[in-house]
Amino acid sequence: MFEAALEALSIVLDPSRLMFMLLGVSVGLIVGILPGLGGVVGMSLLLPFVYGMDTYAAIAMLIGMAAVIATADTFPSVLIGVPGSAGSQATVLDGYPLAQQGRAGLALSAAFSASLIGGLIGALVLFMILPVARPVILSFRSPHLFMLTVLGLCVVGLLAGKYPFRGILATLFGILIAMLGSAPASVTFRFVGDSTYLMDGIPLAILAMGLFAVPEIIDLLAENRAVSKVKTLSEGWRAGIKATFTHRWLVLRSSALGVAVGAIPGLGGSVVDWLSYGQAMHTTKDKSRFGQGEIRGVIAPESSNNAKEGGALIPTLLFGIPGSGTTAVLLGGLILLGIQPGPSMLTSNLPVTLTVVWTLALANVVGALACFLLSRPIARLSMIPASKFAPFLIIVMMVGAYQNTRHWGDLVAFLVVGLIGWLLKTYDWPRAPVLIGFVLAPSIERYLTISASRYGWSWLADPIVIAIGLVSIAVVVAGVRVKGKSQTREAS
Amino acid sequence: MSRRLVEELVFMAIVAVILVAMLWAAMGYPFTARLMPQVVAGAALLLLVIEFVQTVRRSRHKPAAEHGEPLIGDKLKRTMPYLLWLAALYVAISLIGLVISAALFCAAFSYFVGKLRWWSALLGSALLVVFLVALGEGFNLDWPPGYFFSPFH
Repeated sequence: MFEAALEALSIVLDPSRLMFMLLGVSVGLIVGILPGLGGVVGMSLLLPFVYGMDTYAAIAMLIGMAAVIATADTFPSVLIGVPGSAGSQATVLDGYPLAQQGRAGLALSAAFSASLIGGLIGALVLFMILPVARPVILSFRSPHLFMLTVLGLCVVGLLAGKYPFRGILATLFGILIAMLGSAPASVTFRFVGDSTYLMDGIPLAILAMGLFAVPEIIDLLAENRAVSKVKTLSEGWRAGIKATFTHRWLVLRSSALGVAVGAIPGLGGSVVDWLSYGQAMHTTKDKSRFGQGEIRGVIAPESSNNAKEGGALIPTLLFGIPGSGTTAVLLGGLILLGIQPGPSMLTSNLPVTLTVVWTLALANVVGALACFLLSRPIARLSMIPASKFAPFLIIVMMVGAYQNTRHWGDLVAFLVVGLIGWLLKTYDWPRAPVLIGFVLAPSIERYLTISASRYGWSWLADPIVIAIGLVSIAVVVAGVRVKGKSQTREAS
Repeated sequence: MSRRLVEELVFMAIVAVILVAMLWAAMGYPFTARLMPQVVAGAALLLLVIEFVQTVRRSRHKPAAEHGEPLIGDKLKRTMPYLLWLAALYVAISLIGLVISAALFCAAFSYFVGKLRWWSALLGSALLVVFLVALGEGFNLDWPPGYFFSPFH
């Protein structure tokens, strides 16, 4: 294992691959800084360009991008009071008041150093879990993987968004969208009519950009957002780093929580920061300063939201079940590169897995350093109103969309999916499960077909299949009841 | 019923019609091709009915003001100008290709909506053209051609 790890390190340190990682880190920093845009948008921007690239260079670029978003999204959270992405919502509560008190430098440096440590812990846990997970994962067969995928979809559907049935429905919509085009087990084109464009289905990058980026940009423009009240960053950079080390146990606890929550499909992104903010508050005697500019309220969410990236990669790489929109697009990218996530990630594709671990660690270090060094110009960038950067971003996305099949249909699909995404956002339907269902649809169909052709229907009587099935039902029932109760409480 | 609730129910009804159409279309496919879409669309239809009922029930526990902003009304008014800009961009691309349309769109949008000075708007769009041409040359990319004019195709 250690020999393989060293070999993977030499692959990552190849200068050309390092350049691509830096490119990914740069895109991640920009996407993280711009409010409302998250990992899915960044992944979708890069995805069309991975076709034909060296596998390791493409992975370095994609992971480099994903690793630093949680670091860079601190800028808008602290300076503007608008979360840069879903994982930095809790940072706003204390980061923004600190900036208003003229202590933005303290908040940012504490956040960056906590992010760095959290990200490294996430990568370390991912590395440590590989030898433990190896025998367990390799014992799974197609029926078990099918049921695990169903369980993952149920969990994702239930946890995403406010309403449990909407989450599950969104997952099913994603699967149905993936059914457009040729059927895998027969020569049939499903739901395409006379359209030659739809025969190959809708490309993942178009679906991801349309669902996530277009609605955000439309709403940012309509609300005319992103006007910062903070013009200077002030001092306090050393004090921020010192605060992170003073609260080292909080950083460790929050990072561990981040990895654990990140590993649960569907739970990560939008709740991990709130959970760690809650535990920071819970373990502090004087709770009165939370919300007024308490540095622990910045350190806890920032260390956990970076650590969750390592956790989220565990089900994505080892089971092929993405836990979030970002990892769903990453999974699609890996498939484009000819890598099938799942048990093979611990055997024939082990170097790829270890490359991911090293890139994650390295990108976190580079990302945090870049944030420290470029904080002043970056801070100015985050103050740009949406109306100034939106036209350029729209063009870049359209260029990316058109490279999928180089057909006018790409542009039409981009616009149609964008409007559907905007409707879903407007009416409170979660969009991440659509993407996850879309990415997982071929696997579900494949696992089901292999199970049926190899074992007939006897696989349904397999004890592991029954156990996972019961867990899925229990998860759905419990999820619906818990969400129902919380909605009743809210209403009353 | 609030306007927002009516809109949400209409949205779900449209989705239900699409699901029924998919179920209908799938009936003509061979077994291996229709199994997954029929199972998924059937389950979705069932859950949609439950969600329809749940949405109505939830709305009864909330005052109309808390149902959320309806799409048709102020929200659409705020958004419509930007949707029209997007539509204009698509028309321009279909007529004169992507690169020139992108330059014109960015310059015009930055000047009229972004309130940039004219030279900043022109500089931004010139840099975008340079970026697109360099990207096209470097990665051997292709751009959507225009009906009348397509210099970089």
